Amino acid sequence: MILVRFFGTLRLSIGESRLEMEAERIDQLLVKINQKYNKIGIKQLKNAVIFINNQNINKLERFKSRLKDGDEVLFISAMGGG
Amino acid sequence: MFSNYGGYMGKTLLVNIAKREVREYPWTDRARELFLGGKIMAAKILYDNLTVETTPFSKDNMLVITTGPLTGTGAPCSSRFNISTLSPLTGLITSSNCGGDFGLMLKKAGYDGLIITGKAEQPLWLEIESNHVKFHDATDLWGELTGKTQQLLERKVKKSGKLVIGPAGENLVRYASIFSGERTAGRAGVGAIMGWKKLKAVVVRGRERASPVNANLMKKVYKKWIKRLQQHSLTGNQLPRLGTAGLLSSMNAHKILATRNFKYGQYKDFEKVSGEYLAEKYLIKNKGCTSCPIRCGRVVKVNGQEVKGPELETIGLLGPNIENNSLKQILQWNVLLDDLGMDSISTGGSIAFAMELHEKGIWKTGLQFGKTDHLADIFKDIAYREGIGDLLAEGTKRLAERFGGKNFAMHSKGMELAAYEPRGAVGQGLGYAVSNRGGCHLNAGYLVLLEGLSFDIDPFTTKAKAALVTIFQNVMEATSAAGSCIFSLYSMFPDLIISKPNSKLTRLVNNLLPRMGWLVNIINKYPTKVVPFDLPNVPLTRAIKSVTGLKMNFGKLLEIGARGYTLERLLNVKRGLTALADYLPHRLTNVSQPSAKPETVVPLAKMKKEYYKIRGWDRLGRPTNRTLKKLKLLGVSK
Ligand code: SF4
Repeated sequence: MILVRFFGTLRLSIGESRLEMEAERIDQLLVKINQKYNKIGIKQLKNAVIFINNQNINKLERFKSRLKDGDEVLFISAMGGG
Repeated sequence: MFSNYGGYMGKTLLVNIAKREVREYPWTDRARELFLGGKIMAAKILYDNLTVETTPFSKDNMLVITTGPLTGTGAPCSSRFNISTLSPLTGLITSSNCGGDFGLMLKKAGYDGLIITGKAEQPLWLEIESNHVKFHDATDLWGELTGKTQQLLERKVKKSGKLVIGPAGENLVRYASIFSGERTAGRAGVGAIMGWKKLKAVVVRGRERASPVNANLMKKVYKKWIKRLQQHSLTGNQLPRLGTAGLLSSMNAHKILATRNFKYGQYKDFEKVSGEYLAEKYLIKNKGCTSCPIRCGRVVKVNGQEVKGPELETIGLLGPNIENNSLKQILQWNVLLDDLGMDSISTGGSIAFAMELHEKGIWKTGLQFGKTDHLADIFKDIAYREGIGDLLAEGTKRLAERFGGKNFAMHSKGMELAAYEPRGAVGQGLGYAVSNRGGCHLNAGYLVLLEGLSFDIDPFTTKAKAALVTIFQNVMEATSAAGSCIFSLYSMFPDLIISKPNSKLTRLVNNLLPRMGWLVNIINKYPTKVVPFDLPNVPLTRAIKSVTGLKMNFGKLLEIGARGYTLERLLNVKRGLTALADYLPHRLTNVSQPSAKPETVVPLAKMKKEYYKIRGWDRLGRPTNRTLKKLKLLGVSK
């Protein structure tokens, strides 16, 4: 199981803070989340900053980054300053 | 003194509250061209009037309250005003920016600035209306909380702008703040200076208006600017919906959330104090400073009452940094600290330091990380200087001088650091160290925005960091001087990049930026030659032109910013500041976050050297004569 957590305005739009899902790759995970919450498009998910266990996917294999049981994936929508 | 430029009222008032004397302070159009207004105008006034002998708590120290040419003209996010003085925390110049209505009311009363000098014998409040200044006895107000004081004053002078202090200011807590409505000139102890002067409040009102030189153009520019802000993902979505608190989760993910007195960069319970949780559980609506389309302020409901919600920094310093996971407590403390009139960042920072001193057996106070139920009482003790509160009121630096623990006393130049842990954003670390007012995230240049928050440039490399810190500091300095909130600058960053963090273009920009230091430095060096035009994404310069008629473009804006930053530096140097004061605690420069991968520290020495060179300062951090000449600062003093 993959633990998925949402942050930023994305979380307010989804109305969920976390969920558990099976997926082997990030792109697969995006499709599954979209199927569950179809008001959230794949594009919107792709435009989040995505971390797998504290690592930005851009430093891994981006949307092809592999997932394994127990991984934690964060989706954080665009952020500015404070 | 009349001005030929629009937007200005053309008069600055100097009030000596000891002698009860009032006169106009000379401020010329030439000064407006060079220093624009706000914090830069204030720096010039302080530079010209303070001697080396002036100490923060002395009658010659001035409170300089200034507006910018855009203040009160209806420009987006432009109700801002500035308070500068010698800080009782740092002994150096400080400037605190505030979004309350005092600034625009000061302009309505006919003034661009108000300078207060001297010390009253008895508590006093000032009433300013058009050309009249009245001195009122404030004995009945002395001791009142900031909220109550403002209510009482509103009964006396209806529809007025107010500046007030609370008990913390009266009792000279070194990080006491000044309040205007719900908004705060929060940092570096400006409230203690007002308290020392025995000035409880200033109330101002009037009916005058600053006229723009080109009203039609101004309206057009403002309309477009507002639209731009409303459509931008940060200013039209994140800030209105989540406030600044929305950053906390991202900071945690990037390991830059100060936790347990900056020992760590992540907090296990961050979600319980996050902006998202705040929005889901407590938020009633968002709120803004006058004329702001962004409205980043929060109104929350706690214990059945609708009150002001906290900013990111308050949550960070009173949450993760003391290992407190109760957002409800933070909401209550936020109101209490505002009422007592003290800065939540320095309060949280000082308490976190005391907690670590206790843990190490150095100063046994009973203050412990994660044990926070009794902290409301400690805050009151600080404000009234009772028990250990009397020492906590002195701030982290002085606690370390008394008890030891310098290596983990988290301040720079005596001011407690904000909530960004810079070992994971080294450019932010450089900014903290060289900032004119000490450990302020904004005066630092806020490079963390590029180092993970909105962009994702390598946060550990030193490449281009000094160049980027310089340009960011300059643009923020000038924006503030214009009377605008620096959040209005966010539309400068293309949404195409900010809202698409994984796109090819964004990744390219993130990779290229650290290699573009040379280009940024050419701009830093020759701003008026390289960018002698307006940038489409920075409406500010067009706004300044349409309001004031001043010659303005992005290059000129940067030049004014550099002039302001250097002038503040010059004032600090005159007061004995050396490169040694551009400092970060040992914990950040020599010890990496436990178990963090990669193990990093802030390589300060290297970046500092580069920064001085870019700024045109010598190796001791002093602006050279050549730099002063270039910035038209040589010989500008009286
Ligand atoms: S963005 Fe926030 S701080 Fe800035 S002017 Fe608007 S409400 Fe005030």
